Amino acid sequence: MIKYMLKRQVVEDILSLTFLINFVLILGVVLAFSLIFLSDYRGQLADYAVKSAKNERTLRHFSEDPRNANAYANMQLVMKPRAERFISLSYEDRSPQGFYFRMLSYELRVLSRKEDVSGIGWYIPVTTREFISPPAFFSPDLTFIVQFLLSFLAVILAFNAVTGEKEAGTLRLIYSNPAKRSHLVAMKYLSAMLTLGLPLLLSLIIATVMLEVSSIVPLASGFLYNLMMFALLSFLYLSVFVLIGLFCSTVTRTSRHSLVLGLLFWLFLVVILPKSPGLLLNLKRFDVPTGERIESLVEKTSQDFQEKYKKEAMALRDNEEAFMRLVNRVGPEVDQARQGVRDQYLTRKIAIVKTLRKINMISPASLYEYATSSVAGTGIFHFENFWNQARQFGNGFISFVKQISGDKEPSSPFQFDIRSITNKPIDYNAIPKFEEKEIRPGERIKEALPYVALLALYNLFLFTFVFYKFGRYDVR
Amino acid sequence: MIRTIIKREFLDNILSFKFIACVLVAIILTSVSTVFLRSDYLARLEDYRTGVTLNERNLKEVPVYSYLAPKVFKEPNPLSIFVSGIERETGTYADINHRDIPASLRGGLIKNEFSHMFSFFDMSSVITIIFTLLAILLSYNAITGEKEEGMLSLSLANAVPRYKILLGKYFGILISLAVPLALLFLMGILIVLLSRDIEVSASFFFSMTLLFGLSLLYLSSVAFIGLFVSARTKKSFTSLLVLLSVYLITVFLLPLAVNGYAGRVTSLRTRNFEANLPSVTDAREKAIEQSLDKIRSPRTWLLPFPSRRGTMLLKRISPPEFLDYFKKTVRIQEKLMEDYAVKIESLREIDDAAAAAVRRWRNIILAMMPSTDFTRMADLTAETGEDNLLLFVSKLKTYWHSYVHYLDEKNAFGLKYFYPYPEEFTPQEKDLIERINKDYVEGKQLAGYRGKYLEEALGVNPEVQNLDLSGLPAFVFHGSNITDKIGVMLPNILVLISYNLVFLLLAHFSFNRYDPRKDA
Amino acid sequence: MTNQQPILKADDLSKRYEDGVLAVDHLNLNIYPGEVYCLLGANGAGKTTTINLFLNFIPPTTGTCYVNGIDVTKDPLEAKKYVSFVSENVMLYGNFTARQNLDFFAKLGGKTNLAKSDYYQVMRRVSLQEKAFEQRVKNFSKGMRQKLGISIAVIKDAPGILLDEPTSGLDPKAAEEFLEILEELKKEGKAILMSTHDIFRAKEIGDRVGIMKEGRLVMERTREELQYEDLVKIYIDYMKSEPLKI
Repeated sequence: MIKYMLKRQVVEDILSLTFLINFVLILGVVLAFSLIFLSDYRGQLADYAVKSAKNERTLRHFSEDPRNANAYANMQLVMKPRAERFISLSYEDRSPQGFYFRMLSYELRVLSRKEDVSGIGWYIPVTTREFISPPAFFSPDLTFIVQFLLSFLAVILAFNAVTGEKEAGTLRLIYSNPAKRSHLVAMKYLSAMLTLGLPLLLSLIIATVMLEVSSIVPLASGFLYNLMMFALLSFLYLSVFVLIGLFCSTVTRTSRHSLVLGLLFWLFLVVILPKSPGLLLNLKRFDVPTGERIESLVEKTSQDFQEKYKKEAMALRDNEEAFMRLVNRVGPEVDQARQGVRDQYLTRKIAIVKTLRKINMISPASLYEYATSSVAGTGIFHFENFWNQARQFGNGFISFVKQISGDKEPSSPFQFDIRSITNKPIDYNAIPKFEEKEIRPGERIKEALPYVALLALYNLFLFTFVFYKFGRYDVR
Repeated sequence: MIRTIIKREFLDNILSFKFIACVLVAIILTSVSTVFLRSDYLARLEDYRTGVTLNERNLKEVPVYSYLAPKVFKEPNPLSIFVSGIERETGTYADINHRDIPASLRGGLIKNEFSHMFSFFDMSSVITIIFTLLAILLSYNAITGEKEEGMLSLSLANAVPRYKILLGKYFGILISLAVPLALLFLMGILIVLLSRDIEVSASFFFSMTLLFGLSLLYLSSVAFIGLFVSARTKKSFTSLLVLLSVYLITVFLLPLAVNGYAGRVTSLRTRNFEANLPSVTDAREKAIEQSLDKIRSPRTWLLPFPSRRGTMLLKRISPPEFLDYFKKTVRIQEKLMEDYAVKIESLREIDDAAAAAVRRWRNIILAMMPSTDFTRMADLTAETGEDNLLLFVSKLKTYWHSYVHYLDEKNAFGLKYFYPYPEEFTPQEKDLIERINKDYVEGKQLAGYRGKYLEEALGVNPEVQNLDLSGLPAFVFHGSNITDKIGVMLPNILVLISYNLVFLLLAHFSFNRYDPRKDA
Repeated sequence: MTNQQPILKADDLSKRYEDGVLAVDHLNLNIYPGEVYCLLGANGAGKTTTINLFLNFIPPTTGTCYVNGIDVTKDPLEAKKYVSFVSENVMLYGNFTARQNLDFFAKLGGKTNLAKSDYYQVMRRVSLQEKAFEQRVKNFSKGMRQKLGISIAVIKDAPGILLDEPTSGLDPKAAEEFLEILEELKKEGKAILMSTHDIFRAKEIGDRVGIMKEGRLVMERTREELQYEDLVKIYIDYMKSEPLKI
């Protein structure tokens, strides 16, 4: 019995116009996106190369003349644009790219999208020569295509599973035979997944070949593995929407109602729900000071220290040596306190984002987005990991220079007493360089686990509900 | 006759599930977002008022021109509660400084750099997303549905010309959309009026009315498009599928793609400034160096001291040649800064022009689709979009020139640039200065004496007078009035009107040829 | 039948569809006031197409339809003033009550000044239950909907009435009630064209009966003539016989 039903269902679907339209649409959109991504990615890599080259130059100058090189130079530690951005961009292009690392200090300042460089301080401006884009509803990547377009198609495919057959009169016909109720639903589900899954897989394969052939995007084996995980997650996600379509079909009497209900569900879960928590950013709970205010708080920390040690400093004002020794002693404390203020607020900002994400976890669309972002190692997960690596590098760099200078003064921070840095050239190859390490697969999967579990739960719940509802459906 | 049809269509619409569901969603979203955006607006207004007050207070207490750092603020617009545009994203004030022509705004409420991941709804997006969907749901089966159920045959078996039936359906849909829309607008206005902290002028009401009218014009075009597609298809499902695809593409995908692409193109074409700035600033440094070279600098005895006041006092009690030196160098340096500010600005203008070109074609492309056309007009009406920001910045630049002119008039780069004290010395000070000069002329290393002399000077404590800034030009920025707004939007309005007319005609011709038989 | 002009006249009417099917083949019909003409035929014989041609829903290939002497293709709006239409299985506007539906179609039909009592009267006349008058149509049974359909035709009070398979799917009692109303309307002088499969009812109500086969009117008998022949036998004979086309 199942065999016949499945065969009929599949043949009917493949012959239908819907299947063809699906196929063409999915293929077309994914391939068009691949082309856009390729053209864009080149630019991103070029930008990254420029920054890396600049860092290299800074390090070389430093290695040649450590004491007199511009030791207050900044290195720009930025996240490398990985090929995984194709799978999940997760707003990386709009979020901070990395950090300014002020060499020989503990200072790590968040590097924001663009800075005005005319020389009057730093801040996040919106200038006339920058493109002022409206806040994005979505981030363009494969995840978006599946999350938005394919889920919509899933609902369209599944909404008249039951009501359509009822209206064509075939529902009664089928059940006048010894056919289990659950089988019809299962068949509809499988055929919908097939109609979506085939073009999706095909287009992913073609896209991968395109990326490979273009030789712009360096594809490691890791990328293929990530792509496979992405495909699995996509199936899990699309399954939710097929089930929602089926669900609507079983709780309404006519196709028309079923479709409207399905559309409203889709709109709510994919568009409305994920975009609502943005308003919460206004709440006092989620308030953070502006970048300038944070910097002024940092300055205040310095001033506090000055107040604290003012008497001592005044007393030593005529004794240069002693004065500098005091400065060297207090210096690192000040530096770390300053950076501590910055760190505190950055942690807070990231925590706020994570809280809002938690609120979003009601929506399967958000769950899917976060899951793919975790698996691909992009987004805020990436940024946090990068921050750790940047900090480790910064500390390591200071230790290295101290060590090679023969740490004269107790933990001298250099920025106050440049004479504590060695004035002999350092071997460039010995200097620690910043190489961003990819997040290990195990960690990425661990990060994605809660989202995947919830998606599976969604599926389970919808499955049982649909089967239950259909079991009691009035086939007349 | 048409009235009968309109009445029936309207009643049928408002009793349907899709209408009730969509309107409910629209009301909830709009009310929630209005409440949040209102408190957001109030916070920004508070920010603005504090900033302005603080600025005025600071201006009163400025002793020297080097401390003069006026700020210019952009007042938040109450209409941003309904059409948030980019107002929340952009800065709110600019520092006016003779060294750099302002090109951007600082501050602003979006302080979390990661907040870009979260967008939100405002009333204008409720209109483009929810109301458009409702318009589609009401119109997609206006004709196909009646055919499928046999009513079309029944209606056409009467002496009613087809165009009357079509117009009846159209007006039925329009009124079904207008009523909840009016409700939302009224609700929004009420929320604003009931807030005691918000002052609104007549232009607010005019703008809201204009916005309402534009929304109806837009939704009307959607209704005509829906009617046209319905009159061209045989099955309701096909009609819905076509309309929904168009909806997804024009409301979500296309703006994303166009804006994304335009953003990338802009960033590629505006690298000129960053690339060439170092050479200009280098040239500036060189020019300053060269000019200062010609002036003999006195022997240094002044080391940096933490407090500004300390430095100032040291200048006061310095040997006379120091004061002379400072006077000359400051004038030359600051004048050169001013000149180079203009040069840097011309560098910017190259990139600005490139960005403006991209903006132009992006606007043209987006103006061709009703939904994005409407969004642009909403931004223009509420003055919360890009155009308003650009206008403000251009006014800032004009203001900069009048500010610099003021500085020149007041001879700001003279003594008063860095010297807050009266030119007359008290006998005590004269004595102190004589002693210092004696030590200096004798060639003594004064480093060791510095602290001692400074303590004495601190004890004298000369009077500081604040500047008279009564002539400082004020920055004034008015929003445009209604007629100006409409004037700017005229092409966009014409686009929407064309859409309405074209699809009205297409629907009319299609419906005239439409086969009403149930099984056809 | 008197020397009056026919209200509904088909003059050498033919209709060939785009796919080549000849649905109506040189049809000639004259229906006079005060008579019921039943058009019998198998599915696809051309009955519904004939009615659609009278209503100008499709243009004829050759020939003309006249309603009250007016050519329906030349002046459709004028012609439609003189004809009512009862369709097979019409859903009507489900969210509205019976009276509201009736009100709407009455106004469309030109009767704009009727009162609620007028509507009730008509609905009573067609034997629609009182309690259904103000009930939503979406819950109506098929029989109730048909009755409402005929009341729409009645209230328009047009001289010609076109009915497309009106009794299909009705139970015998409802069908009987329906025919009683038709009889009344006939007595009022209406010219009625009814297409149907129902041989028995056709024999009962029809003053004249025509059998259509593959678009052609192959036989026409009056009531008197039928008394002496068994319509059933004739009908089935024709159905069983070879197709007319080679």
